[in-house]
Amino acid sequence: MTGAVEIGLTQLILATGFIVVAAGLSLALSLGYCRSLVIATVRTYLQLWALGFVLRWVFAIDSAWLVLAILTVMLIMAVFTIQGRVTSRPRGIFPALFNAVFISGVTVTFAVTALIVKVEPWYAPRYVIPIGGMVIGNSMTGLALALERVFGDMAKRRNEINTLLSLGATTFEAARPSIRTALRAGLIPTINSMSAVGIVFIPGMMTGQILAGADPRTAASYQIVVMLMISAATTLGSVIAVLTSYGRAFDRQSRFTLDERS
Amino acid sequence: MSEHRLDGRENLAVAANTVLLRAENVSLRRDSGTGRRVILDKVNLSIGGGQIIHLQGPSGTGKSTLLWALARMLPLDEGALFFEGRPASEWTAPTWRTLMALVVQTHSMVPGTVADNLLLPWTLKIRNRPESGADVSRPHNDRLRRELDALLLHEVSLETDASQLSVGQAARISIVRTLLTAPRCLLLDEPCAALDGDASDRVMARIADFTTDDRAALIVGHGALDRVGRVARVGRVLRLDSGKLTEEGR
Repeated sequence: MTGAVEIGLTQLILATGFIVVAAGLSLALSLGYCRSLVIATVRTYLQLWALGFVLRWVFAIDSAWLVLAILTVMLIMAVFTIQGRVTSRPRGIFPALFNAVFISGVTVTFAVTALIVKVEPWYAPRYVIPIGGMVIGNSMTGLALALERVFGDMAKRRNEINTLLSLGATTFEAARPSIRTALRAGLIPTINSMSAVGIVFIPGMMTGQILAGADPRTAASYQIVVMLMISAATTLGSVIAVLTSYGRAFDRQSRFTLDERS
Repeated sequence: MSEHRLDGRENLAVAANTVLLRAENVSLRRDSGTGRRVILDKVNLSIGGGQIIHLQGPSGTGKSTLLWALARMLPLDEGALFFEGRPASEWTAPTWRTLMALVVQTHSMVPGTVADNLLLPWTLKIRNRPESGADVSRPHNDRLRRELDALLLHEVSLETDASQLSVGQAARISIVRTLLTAPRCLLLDEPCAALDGDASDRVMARIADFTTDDRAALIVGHGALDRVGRVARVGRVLRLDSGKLTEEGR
């Protein structure tokens, strides 16, 4: 990390100057976003400074319990965020979502830290927290998309589903085309970013490592691991979430009840 | 016993054949804007082998709901269903639906060709397990062709994309699809709604042909009455009004 250029108060003030120019433009042209821009800027300062302080404190304490507690908070926040994004859902999918986020987030995070990066000790906060954050944060979008899609698609296929059920289909057979559509929808953003990475954009983590003075090849290898684990977590999480929750659209007698309950 | 109340006049006809389906004191309420509306009020019904039954009643009175309930596609609030004297709980819902086959009014085609749609029932697990009792063998293309021709679908090829079908064609294809699975009781919701006279006659003739001694058909449909009367060997007429089911004299 020797190559990193220190960002001091002067540099921060300079950067904020650009926001002042943007806010001035908004005022001059009556674009009406001056207020939200100022609030967003203040939030960026406060949230990231707070994160910096918290991480420094966590790294100093170096306790396995604290790391696990922080991971748990991140996972729970992810569950609520996903639940908020999925609008057309039946009641009672919370447990399925909770399991999906926990199993995929924890498995993939520790698979990477323990088997690939081989951190010592196993809970090393400097690795586990940022990697866990990236896995959970990035797989969240795919999971939300997959869940949103499975119920949205079943609602659209109402007649087809009832036709299949009346021919003797099980709920899985009736839901199968929607499950397939949903899993594909959940993975597309990840696959797209895997295809565009390095050509269309340089991902934030790699940029950060390069700026901090790391060898670009090391940064690239890290980024490859991160991209792969994000797609693994998205796949695992979406599969668990969709397979354990599609049944909520049916009752115990294999009747399609999506509209009545959502 | 009230369960055979409706069969008073039909006892002879029913006794001659087996009773396939019996519904006992079936009540069903559904949520509506103003609270729970009674759709079926202690309905009793027996359907005997060989019978073709026409279900009448004002629109919106719940004729479709009764069909859906008999296929266990809607939950009952009270009452019980029996198939050949055995309670419905002895069958799983999917197996029950292979015996009591509902052809819904919204004739839904799945993506694919006409042949894909006709063979859709054989993509389901239930028809590949002998113990389910639904192991009707998968029909060959010449059988499919004959069935289509019988319903005046000469212009429809087996390779036609199902999304290109007209409403009337899709309606007939969904009837053929269910007939091929050889259910014991056909529950048809407005089968002739989108059909002209000739096509309707062919559909009713095909249903009459299907309804042998150990099979039956229950048909909802305004215009079907004459045709049921004309083609059916046993034509019963039931009337559903304000939740009550009554037998009409002929």
